[in-house]
Amino acid sequence: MTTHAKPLIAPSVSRPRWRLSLFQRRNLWGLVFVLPAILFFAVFAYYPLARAVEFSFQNFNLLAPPRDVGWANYEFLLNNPRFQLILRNTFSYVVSFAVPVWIIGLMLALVFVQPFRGRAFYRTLYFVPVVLSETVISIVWRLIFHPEGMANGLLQPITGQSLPWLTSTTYAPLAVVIVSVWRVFGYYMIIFMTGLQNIPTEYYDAAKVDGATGVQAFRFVTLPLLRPTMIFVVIVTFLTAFQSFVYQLLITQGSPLDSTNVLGLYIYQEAFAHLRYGRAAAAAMILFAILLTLTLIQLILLRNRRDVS
Amino acid sequence: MRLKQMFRVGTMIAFTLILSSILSLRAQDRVVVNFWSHDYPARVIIDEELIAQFEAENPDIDIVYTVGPGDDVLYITQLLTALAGGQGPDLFNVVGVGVPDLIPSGAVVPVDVSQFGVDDQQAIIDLYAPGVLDSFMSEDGTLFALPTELGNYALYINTALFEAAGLDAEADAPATWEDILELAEILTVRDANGSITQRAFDFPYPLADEFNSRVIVMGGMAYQLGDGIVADDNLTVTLNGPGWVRTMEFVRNYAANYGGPQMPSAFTDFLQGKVAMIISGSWFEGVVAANNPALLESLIVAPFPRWAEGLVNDGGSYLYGYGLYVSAQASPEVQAAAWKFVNFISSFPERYYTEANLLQPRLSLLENDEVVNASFAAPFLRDMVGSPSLPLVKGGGEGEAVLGRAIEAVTLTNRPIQEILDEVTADFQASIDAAQ
Repeated sequence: MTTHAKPLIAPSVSRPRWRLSLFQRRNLWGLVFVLPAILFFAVFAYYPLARAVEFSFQNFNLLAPPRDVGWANYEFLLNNPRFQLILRNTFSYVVSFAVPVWIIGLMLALVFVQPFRGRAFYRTLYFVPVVLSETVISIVWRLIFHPEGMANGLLQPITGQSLPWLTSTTYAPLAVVIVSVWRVFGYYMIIFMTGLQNIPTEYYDAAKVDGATGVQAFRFVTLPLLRPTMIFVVIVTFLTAFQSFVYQLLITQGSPLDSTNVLGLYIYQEAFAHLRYGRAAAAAMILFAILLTLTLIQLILLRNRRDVS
Repeated sequence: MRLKQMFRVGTMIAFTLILSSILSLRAQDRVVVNFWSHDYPARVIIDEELIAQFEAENPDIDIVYTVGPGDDVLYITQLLTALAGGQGPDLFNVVGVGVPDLIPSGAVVPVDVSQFGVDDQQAIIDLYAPGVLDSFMSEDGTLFALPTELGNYALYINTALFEAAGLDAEADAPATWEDILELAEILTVRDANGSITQRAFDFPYPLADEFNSRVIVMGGMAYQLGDGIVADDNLTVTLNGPGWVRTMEFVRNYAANYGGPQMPSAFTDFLQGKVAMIISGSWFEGVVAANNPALLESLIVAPFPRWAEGLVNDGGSYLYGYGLYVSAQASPEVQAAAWKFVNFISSFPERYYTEANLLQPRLSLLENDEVVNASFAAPFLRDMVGSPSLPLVKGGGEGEAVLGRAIEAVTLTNRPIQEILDEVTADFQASIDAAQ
């Protein structure tokens, strides 16, 4: 009698074409979930970016159809002394904004991580400017810097004269920096505080046992362990400073003699005041290149940090 | 019972369909004109009343009125974005010099004379003071718009400050720029430290709260000396001619001794009684009334000063115009309805002047002695004839900013004036060349 043994494992049956494997189904569901976000970015970020790249090679005033001009907008900008001045102003603004923000933010954070009476009140007080509107702040500070305003009222006994805060190429950039720093240092103070609170106290205890002074503990414990926070703060302050334009627009309008004009304001003026969207787009691309470089530096620094860890 | 209910529902649906069909047919009979304007509250009130009156007289036309931002830059951005997207208004008001490419780009259509009940555009031009509609015409002389406001600048004088200095404002009002220098010696008041506490006069420097135009004032001064903003070809920038150099020398000298951009804007200080004279438009009377009504009691207006020496053109300041334009994107019947409305709304120049201080220089207004003599209109209207219109130069929308940079360099540095003007001329020329 011949018997046919029943196979223990069913022979592989070819799956119908329309049926997906478990992994494929998972991937598909994943795609379905991220699709709204992809669409959102495609419509509101990537498409405008692509159009801006296209505009940067065109002359466009919104009225007549765009006209291709090749690299003319870039050539104009890179050879234009006024644009070069504005580019220098932008870098100068970024540094003179960012450095005080780091120093003031970190110093206040070091103060406010220590327990003392009224800490919450003072911390809130320093944070208040962050929640105020940039427009409101600009208008108020413009009044403060008015020739007969509060700044001169307070300083005149010391300086002996009324300082031209908004009409001098020396003081106007300083005035814009003062307003910008005043607005945000409270925010970075909180960021630094978070970083400081994440440093385990055992390290300080160990340093104390080893006889480290307060300065040495700060130099050899606080600063190295605060490095990720510091990298974040450095990059974010640079990125926001490069894009700054509200204070320059509302307080000085870039004057006098373009001393407070920065890339963000220049782009706004070219596009909306002078209706040169092509040149504005080219300037925006230059700003984009600067910001992209900064972001890449950030990624490299963070990766190096992870490698070290 | 069920049948009855179904019948009831069916009847209601049928009734609704019939009613909506009738309403949509009625709507189709009406021509809808979307009309945009920048915000100027006193004018908007008159606009709305006249729209209601027009719609009552023309039941087949609906005017849908939208008021945009009062700031020209914001308004123009919204307007052009809407036009570029095919969603723009059928009819709109805009300051011509802010959009110099509007007519050459083909975005607007010429005035439809048939809606004005005349045979040719000359009949419409003849309704206005000679030459004042130039800035609404294309290079070939075709008329594209009619003004909602056609302005120039004149000299506002605070008579109280003149009297305090022992002067008679009527008799001693400056007729020339040289007179202004002489009056500056008398009317400028300084404190013990030598700091100026009251200015005789000052220019509109590029300051955040200065609303008067530099091109209109300084351009007018240079024009009197024979220099325009561009040459007759409407392409070559002439901001570095001898008339401009002399104008800037005057400004530098005046700013160094009697005022300057380091001080608060003359616009705001005049309202506070700290400046005796400023140059501004007819609309400034409304600003005074809103901010310091008491000042109206001691206010008079004199014509825009002339140069005593070297006068070439006996004109006032430059003329600027807010015009009513009809979009080329509108259908022919909407365009016709829009022009019909423009004909209507531009027939009330007396109302716009007396209630909103805006000048529409129709001859009917110029010849209305009752209105002209009872107001500050006379110096403005007299100066209009013979004054130049701001040129509509393709790619030349930057004129105000360019001149602002020149004035800053003139007043805040010691650089040679000719060098400064050559530089801004080259800058402006490059922008215009790129747009051709």
